[in-house]
Amino acid sequence: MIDFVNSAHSVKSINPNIKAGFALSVITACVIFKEPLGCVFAMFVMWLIIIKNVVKNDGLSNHLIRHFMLFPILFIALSSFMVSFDITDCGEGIFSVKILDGYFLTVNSEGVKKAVRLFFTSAASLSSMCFLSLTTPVNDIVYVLKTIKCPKEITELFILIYRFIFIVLNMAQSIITAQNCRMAQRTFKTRINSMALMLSSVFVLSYNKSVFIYNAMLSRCYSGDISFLNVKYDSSKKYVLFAVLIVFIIVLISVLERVY
Amino acid sequence: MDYIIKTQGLNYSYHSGQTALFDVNISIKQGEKTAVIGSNGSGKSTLFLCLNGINKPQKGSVFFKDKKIDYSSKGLLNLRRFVGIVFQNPDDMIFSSSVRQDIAFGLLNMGFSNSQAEEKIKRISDFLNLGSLLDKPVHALSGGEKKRVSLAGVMVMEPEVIILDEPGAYLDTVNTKTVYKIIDDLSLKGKTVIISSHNMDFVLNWAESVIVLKYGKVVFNGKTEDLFLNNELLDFAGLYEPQIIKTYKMLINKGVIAANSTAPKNITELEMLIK
Ligand SMILES: Nc1ncnc2c1ncn2[C@@H]1O[C@H](COP(=O)(O)OP(=O)(O)O)[C@@H](O)[C@H]1O
Ligand SMILES: [Mg+2]
Repeated sequence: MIDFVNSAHSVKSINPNIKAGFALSVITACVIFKEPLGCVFAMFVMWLIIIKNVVKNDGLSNHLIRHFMLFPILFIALSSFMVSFDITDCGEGIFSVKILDGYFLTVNSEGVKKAVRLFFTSAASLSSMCFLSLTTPVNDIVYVLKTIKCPKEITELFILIYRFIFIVLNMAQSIITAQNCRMAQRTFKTRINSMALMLSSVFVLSYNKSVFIYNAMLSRCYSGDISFLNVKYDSSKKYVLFAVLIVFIIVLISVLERVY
Repeated sequence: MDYIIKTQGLNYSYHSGQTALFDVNISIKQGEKTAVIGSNGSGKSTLFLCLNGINKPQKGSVFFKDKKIDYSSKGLLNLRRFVGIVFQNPDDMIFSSSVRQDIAFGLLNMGFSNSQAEEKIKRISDFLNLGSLLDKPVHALSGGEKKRVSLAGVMVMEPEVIILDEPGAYLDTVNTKTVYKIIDDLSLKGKTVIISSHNMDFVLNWAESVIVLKYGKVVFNGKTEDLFLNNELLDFAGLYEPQIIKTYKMLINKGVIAANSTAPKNITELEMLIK
């Protein structure tokens, strides 16, 4: 199987519908069974593909991936940790603290189990989404939207928003830099003030920007319908087979885990 | 058909009430290298948007090949096939997710099929040396690359008239040279190229005719040499004298070259005069 992952030298060229279907069915399988082992397996496969392809082929640095993943993982870990706590009126369990008269903050095995399941399920789902977003350029996501007959307006909005995110972020970044050069962070009050100024000018600037972009579209014969080059995708059966196999293994592991 | 683009009594005001163009009468000859110059805010960009039918003048009219611009949506689409415009800031022009998709945008709007578009993209990317960038996301491009991509997006549509708004803006020396080289190639191919620029030495060397704007009014429309030898006019329009012309005048004063020699356009021509 590792051979297979290696041989699929560019996951990017695989038909995005297969990839989206694969990611979604893995997520579904993980969420339905919520069995840690199944989820671990799903995560293992996803990260194997990501590392073997995205990191190696596209030169995406490990550093970036770590940043990309650190916050969500921390967030999931923290919220799962919170779930393991329970407030009871009897101080039993693995660990308990008395908080009020007759009430205890406890961690019992039930809660820990719940937390572990939640953690692995979310981590596996997150890994699947990472797989999808790291191997699928936005055009291909648009292709998926078009195949599932998503309304044209939404598809076009999606593209423009995607492009706009970068422009607005750049704008905000340069305004913040310019403000910092002029002591915007001196006190809490100046900080709040410059934040408000930044937000309002980003708003005005992005309006102006949208006028420019619209003009540029018009000047290139835009008449109300964005069309795309269709890229040829690799839709060979082996990828579908691979996807089905992986989902099957996840289901199998989960069922076995549940039985034993 | 002498003139490819002509305007008559053009007036344009923005919604804010700012009058940006005032009674503009210009004519641009087919195939002639034309520069539009003037200080910031003099109305160059506004004029360009009028020539492409994006700004609809409140008064006066624009002619393309002796035909008045038809502002119906069909008429405008037809005009924009022939008159392309490259904006000053490439970030305003590039909005697709990948370079390939962005270059394809105009072509697909013009009704070319996928394979025809691919073919044309291949050709333009060879010409502009964009081959390695085609599948990059646009936000990962450098300034010079963005400029070339925005040029490609317009050039690939093969318009007869190409308008470039301050093509040297945001670029370093090497990239500016590349872009100027592309502009020269366009003229050689017989396209009518119209650019705005603040680089007077470039304008002197490149342009055959010049249009000077001041506060939205045309103060000069004629041959390049006539403008740059006219100090009064240059001062009036807030423009500076090109270095070459300065040197040329100085050399006449010192008696190094003859007073009746023709004004040089570039270093090479100046050198010839000294010899
Ligand atoms: N979108 C706009 N809304 C209102 N006023 C504008 C707009 N764009 C330009 N102007 C005004 O029109 C005048 C001409 O601007 P412009 O054509 O951009 O000049 P140039 O390109 O020569 O620097 C300026 O006074 C400018 O403030
Ligand atoms: Mg301008």
